[in-house]
Amino acid sequence: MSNPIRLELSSLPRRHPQSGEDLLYDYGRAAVHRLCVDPDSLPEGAEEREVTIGHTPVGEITAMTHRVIVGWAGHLNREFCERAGISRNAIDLTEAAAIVFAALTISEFEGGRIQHVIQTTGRGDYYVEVDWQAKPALLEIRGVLADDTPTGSVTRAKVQEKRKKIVSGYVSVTAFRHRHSGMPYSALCFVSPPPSKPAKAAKRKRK
Amino acid sequence: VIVSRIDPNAMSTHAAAKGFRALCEGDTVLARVKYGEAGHILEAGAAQTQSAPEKNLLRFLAASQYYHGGDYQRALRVVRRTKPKYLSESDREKFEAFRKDVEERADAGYVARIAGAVRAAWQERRIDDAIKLLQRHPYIVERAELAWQRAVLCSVSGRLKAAALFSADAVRFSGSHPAVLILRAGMPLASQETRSEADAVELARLLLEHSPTPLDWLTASVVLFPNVRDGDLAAGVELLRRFERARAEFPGLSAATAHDQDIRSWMCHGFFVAVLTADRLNGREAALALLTEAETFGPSGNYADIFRTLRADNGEWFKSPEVQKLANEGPVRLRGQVNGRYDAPFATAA
Repeated sequence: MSNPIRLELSSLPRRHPQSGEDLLYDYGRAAVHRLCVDPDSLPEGAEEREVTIGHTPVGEITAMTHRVIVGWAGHLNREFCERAGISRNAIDLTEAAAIVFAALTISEFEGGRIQHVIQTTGRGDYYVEVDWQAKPALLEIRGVLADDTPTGSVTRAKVQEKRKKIVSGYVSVTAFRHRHSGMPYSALCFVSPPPSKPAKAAKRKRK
Repeated sequence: VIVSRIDPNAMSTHAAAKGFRALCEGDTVLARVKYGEAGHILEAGAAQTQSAPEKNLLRFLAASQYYHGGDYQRALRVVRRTKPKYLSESDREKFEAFRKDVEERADAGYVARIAGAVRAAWQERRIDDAIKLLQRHPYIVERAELAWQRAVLCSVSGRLKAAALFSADAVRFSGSHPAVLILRAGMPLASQETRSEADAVELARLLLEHSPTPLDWLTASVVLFPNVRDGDLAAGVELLRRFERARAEFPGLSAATAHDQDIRSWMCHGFFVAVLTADRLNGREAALALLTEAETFGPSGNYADIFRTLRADNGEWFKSPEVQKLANEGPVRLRGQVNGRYDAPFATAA
C-alpha cells in the first residue's frame, strides 16, 4: 500500500487563500481539540493522527477510500482546549472541527477553495461557499463526535441526510471517533444537480 | 455565491471566525464586537441586492451573526424584516426555529429567567447542567463574572486546571479588581472544604501556572502549613519559598489593591504562617526577624493582636492552642468569603 497522504493543518492558508487563516487559527483549534483531546485523548506530544477518507469524486457513485495523516504540529493549544470544553457546547466545537476537515479534503481531493464560512443558527449549522473550478458551490458539513456503531451507520446516515438536503454541491461528514474504521473518518462526496426535464416532454407527459 | 459577491474580501468570514474563537475563550466582549462586524457586513449586503432570495438569505445570515454576538434586539429587528417565503426550504426550517429562539432571548425577562435556571442548577449541585446553560447563554452576565462562575463550577466538579484558567480570566477581565484577586486566591481553601486537602494543594499549584498574583503565591504557601505542622520539613522549605515570592511581588500590585483590607489581612496571615514555619525550620531568631518584618508591613485587622501574642509568647508556638487557633482563623475567614460567592452566583451580575 502506498504511503498515506499527509494533510497538515498549517497548509490551510495556502490551500484556501481567502479563508485559510481563519480555518487554521480559529476553527483549527477546535479540530485539534477533537483530534487529540476529546473524544479520544492522545498521549502528550502527539502531533498527527491517521484518518480514513471516503471520497466520492464528481460523477462517481462509489467512494474511494484513502488513508491520510493529519498533522497539527505547533497548533495544539491546551489552554484553548481546556476553556473551549467548558465554554462551547459539544455540537459547535464538532461542527467547527468538521469545517477544517472539509477544508482539507475538498482542497486535496477536489482542488476546491473555501471562500466563506458563516455560522447560521445556534445548532452548529454553517453556510459555506466553495470556489470549485470556477463554479462556486455550496458545501454541507456535519460533524459527529463519536460514531460507536459497528458499521459506521451513524456517519452514513448523516451523509445521506445531507445528500438529500443539498440540491447540488458537496457534502462533508467527519466522525472524530469511528469505531468501524478504528480511527477518525471523513466522507466527502459531490451531489450532482437533478437532470432538468425538457419543457415539451413534461407537457406531453401531463396530457 | 451570494456572500462572495457582496463581501469579496471575506471580511464577514474573518470577523465571524474571530467571534467563534473569542466565545471559545470566554471573551464575550470581543465576540460581541466581531460577530457584530460580520452582521453589519451581511446586513449592508442585503441592502445592496435587488434579488429577494439573496436579500432575505443575507438578512438571515446577518441576524444569526448578531445572535451569536449576543445582540438579540438587533437580531430580532433583522429577523422581523426577513421574509421566509424567499428562503430555500431547508433554510426556512432553520429560520423558523431561529426566529423563536431570538424572540425568547430578546424578551425582557430572558436574563432573569436563565440566571434563575443557572442558580437552581448550581444550588442543586447539577454542575454540568449549569455549565451547559452558560454555554448556551454566555451573555447573561458580563465576561469577568462569567469567567468566575465557570471557575467555581470547574473547581467544585474537580476540573482544577480549567478552574485555574477561568479564574485567571476573571482577574484579567475585571482589570485585576481586588475583590476578584482575593476570590481567586481563596479558591483552593473553598475547594479544600468541598473536596479534599489534596485538591486544595493541587489547585493552589495550578494557580501558580496561570498568571499568578502575589495573593496566589500566598495561598500556595499557606495550604502547605498543615504538612509543616505534621513535620514535613520539605513542605516548610517550599512554604517559605512561595511566601518570599508573594512578598517580593506584593509591591507590584496597584495602590488600591495593596491597600484593600481583605488583601492586607491575607498577606498578614501569610506572614503569620511563615513566622511559625521559620521557627520550626530555622529557629526562633529567624522567626523573630520575620515577625519584625511583618510588624513593619503593617498588620491589618486582628493581626496586630496576633503578632503581639507571638512577640510576647516565649513558649512553644507550635504547641500553643491559642496560636494554632489563630493559624486556622485566616483561612476560615477567607474561605467563608469565597464560599459565600460559591453559593450565591450572580451576586455581582448586575
